[in-house]
Amino acid sequence: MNETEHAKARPRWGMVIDLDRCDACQGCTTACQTENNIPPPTPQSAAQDRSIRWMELLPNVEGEYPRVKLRLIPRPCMHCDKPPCIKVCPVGATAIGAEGIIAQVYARCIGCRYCTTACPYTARYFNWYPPRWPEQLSQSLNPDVSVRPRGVVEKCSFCHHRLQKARDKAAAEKRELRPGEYLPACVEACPTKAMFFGDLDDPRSEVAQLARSPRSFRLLEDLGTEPKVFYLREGE
Amino acid sequence: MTLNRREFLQVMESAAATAAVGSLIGCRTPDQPVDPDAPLASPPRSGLKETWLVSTCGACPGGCGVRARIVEERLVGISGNPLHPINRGGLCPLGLAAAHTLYHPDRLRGPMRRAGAAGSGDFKSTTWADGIGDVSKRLRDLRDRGLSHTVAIVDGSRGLESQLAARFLESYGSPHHVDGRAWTDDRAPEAVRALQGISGPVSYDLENARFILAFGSGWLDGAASPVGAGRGYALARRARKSKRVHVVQIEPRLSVGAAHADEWIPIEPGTEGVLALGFMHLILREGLENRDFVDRWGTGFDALRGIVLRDYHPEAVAERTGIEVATLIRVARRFASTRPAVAIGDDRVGPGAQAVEARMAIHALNAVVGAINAPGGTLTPPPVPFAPLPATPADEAGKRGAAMPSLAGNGGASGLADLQSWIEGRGQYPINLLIVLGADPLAALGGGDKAKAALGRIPFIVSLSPFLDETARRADLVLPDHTWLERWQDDATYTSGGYPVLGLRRPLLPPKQDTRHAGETLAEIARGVGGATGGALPWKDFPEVMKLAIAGIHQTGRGAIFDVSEAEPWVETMEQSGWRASDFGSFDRFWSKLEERGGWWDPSYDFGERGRVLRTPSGKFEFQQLANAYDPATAARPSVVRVGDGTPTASADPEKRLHQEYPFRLHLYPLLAAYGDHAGPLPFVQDILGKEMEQSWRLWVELSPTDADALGLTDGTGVIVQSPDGEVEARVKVYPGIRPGVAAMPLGPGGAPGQICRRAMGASAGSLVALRKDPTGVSGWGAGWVRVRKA
Repeated sequence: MNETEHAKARPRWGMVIDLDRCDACQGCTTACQTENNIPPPTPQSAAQDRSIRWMELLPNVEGEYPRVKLRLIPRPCMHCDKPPCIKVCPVGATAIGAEGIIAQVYARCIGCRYCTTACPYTARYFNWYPPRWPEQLSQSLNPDVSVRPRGVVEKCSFCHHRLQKARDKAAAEKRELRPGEYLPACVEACPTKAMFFGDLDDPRSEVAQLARSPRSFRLLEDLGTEPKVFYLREGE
Repeated sequence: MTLNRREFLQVMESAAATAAVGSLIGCRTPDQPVDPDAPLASPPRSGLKETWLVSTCGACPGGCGVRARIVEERLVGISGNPLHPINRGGLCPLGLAAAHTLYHPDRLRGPMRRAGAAGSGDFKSTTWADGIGDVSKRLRDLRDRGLSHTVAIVDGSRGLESQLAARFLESYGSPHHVDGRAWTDDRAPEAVRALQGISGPVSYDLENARFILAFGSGWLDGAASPVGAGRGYALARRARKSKRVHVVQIEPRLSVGAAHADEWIPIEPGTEGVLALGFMHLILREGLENRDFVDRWGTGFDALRGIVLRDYHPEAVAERTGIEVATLIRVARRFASTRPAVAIGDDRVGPGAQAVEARMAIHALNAVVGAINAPGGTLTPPPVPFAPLPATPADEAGKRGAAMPSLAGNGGASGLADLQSWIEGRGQYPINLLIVLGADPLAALGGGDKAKAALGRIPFIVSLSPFLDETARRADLVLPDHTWLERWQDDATYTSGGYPVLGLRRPLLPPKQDTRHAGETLAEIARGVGGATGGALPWKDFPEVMKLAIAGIHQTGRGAIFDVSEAEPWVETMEQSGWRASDFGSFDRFWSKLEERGGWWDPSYDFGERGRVLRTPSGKFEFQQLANAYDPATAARPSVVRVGDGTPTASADPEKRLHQEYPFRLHLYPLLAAYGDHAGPLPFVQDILGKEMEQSWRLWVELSPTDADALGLTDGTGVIVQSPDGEVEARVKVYPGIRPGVAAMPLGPGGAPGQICRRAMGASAGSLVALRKDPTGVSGWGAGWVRVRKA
């Protein structure tokens, strides 16, 4: 297999969120926070708008009584194919991987926050506080994910550690990675099964098919960032 | 392990050059600060001892199955059990954050005795022997003095633990087994009892409904099982074959449920019953009712028809409910002509404005279109076939005490409102000792200081709570229970499709603190009391009781151990053709399968069992009861619950007076965190609980832009919200999705001082309403009127 063929065989990971199924319970938010060792928020962090939620429910109220519309959209990192965050990073602390996942290298991040400003989806979070877990709460930390120091930016990684684990397991069993074997924590936890995850380049995959649905749209599509998170709007 | 540059690049390559680098730093606890200059110090640790156990979530009564990931004796993750029929692998924030319940910094470390004044939170630790010995001795003394009937248990638990409490009281000699479940009242069960004659729950078959007519906010985000309801909703929306469900939400506030509906109809609060009868008027006038059900299975329908056609003309209904006539006609037609359709009252019982009559009217809509005991309508789940526990031993003293009149006065089940009014002076004798089991009556009673004063008059309170909740703070002795992650319990529930489900709750780790299973504590107290009571709870531990009862399921041979969902239709077909899918083998094998898979269910529903579903004296659906309730001539219940129902009643004048003093109608809506009382206050949940309103941690009150302008209030202004029953501080949220004249507040747990994770909401909006009884003995939350002023 030459280089090009190898590259083609690589999946391009993407997500589809069906807003017609989502009931805005925020299970995805909490599943992400516990999986990824987000420090427990405090009233102080909330008051200063500094709570970290890689997956966040964005409310949007439009109209006037009685014709009001409340829209609730769960928003992870879009893992854009043309990510604006990467272009502004002065130290190369963020990069797009061969499978389309936008990585954040904490050790390189200098905390300048250019990327948090550049991201049109506000999906990037700065660690304003040292990571702290009251008393025994640190016992519940997930051993697969590091904690981040104060002063670095972090964001949704599509639970990349899960991909590594799934790959390791597949390699140990001398087989290919199976579809559905790698799911981010939010997708796994979704009570209404409103979230789908897989290889957008595989035309047979559920995500690729759903992404082509007439209901499909992406956030701020006109910016040309080419997000790999698709939404399915409500309705028939 | 060190890597050279080549290996580093290989790792980067194979791992898709990624966020992974973060992961590769390995696990660090916060006290070991991560060195940002050492990115590849160690790869993910391998060889850690990792186990997965299944159990049943205990954070709320929803009964979801969970899987726990335990690494090196640490609980590092909770996710949904994919085999569990309620949640099929999904889970809500309360369950997902539950590892924090286990390691919660505010957990009680062990038994404690009050050292300072009641409510000061000043306790000193004691031993289990001392604590249990003390309660036993007090109970023995009371019994010897012939005062056993002055002891009460407030019980918020379910299932077998609740049965243990009942046995304890029966043998000891007290009739006071008080239902202590938070935010429950009698209205919803009373409405179903009056019409169908059943006391059990009604489930709504959301999954198969094609039209959902929802009154009130609770059907989606506050249902009996929030995850179960969400799943049913999602399936109804996008099941593969059938048409997408149409949802109409009737509520004064654009809630999360309303936001997901196809149509939101903001109603004048408290007129839901009038609206239901208005719909019924249109359905009857156009002849769209289901004649088959009404004629064969209904009684008194003609009386109801007479009243509805006479008094509930669309114009009159439109005026009272504030909903346009055209909307009424459109919704009524669609509801009656779509099959199957279901009307849902506020499933989560709480302080809403809906009176018993209103709930009866809503429920009767289902009967009118034939959605009672029908696919896509309302179902009556059969109970889990537990084996009964052996008869409770009783002696003379016990029998005498247990035969005393109950707090409820009418021989019915007692609730918290009965306890409060009894202590406040209605009672003939004082309550001398109170045991609080799986409940927080002070928080659940609402009404601010009045409940505190009432409970303060009980000389000795024992709380079995694992957290220092409001009642535990005022207790004289605290004998803390395990959290749900450390204990055995049976969790009998049902799916929205009406299938009975038994979830097994089991310890995931040994207890983290010096706590004991509440059921076992109760048994030990009983042994300390001695006599007949000593023999009432003879089991060595709680699993022994569970095995005794669950043997009943094993013996019936019905149903199946949880399995992959693909098997469902197959199992169902086999069951219907008379073949029993289950070959459980020996009981031990059955039990170990329960532990392995998480539980048992019976995935079949017999729609032919009319006798089980309609248990009224006539054996039919009692339209007559609804007719009586709304017939001005019989003037059924001039009740506190009825206040604000919009119908002309005896209480109309005090209503008007209230309205002048308190201009806003209070709309309390359920919040997921309100369910979390069994979980402890979880920071992750506190942080997102009002996300749709961009609020968290502190209590807020939502006002319409017009009302806020009139009062000179803007977003974030601190205000005092005051009702005849109490007052709370809150911040203003201006929200256009509120009917003007309505103040909406979330119903979440209040905060207690001195707790690390519960600086939280500060106050609970629950203290603005009080649990009361109407003259017919039905308890309900007073329809709240409030005023709002700047703090």
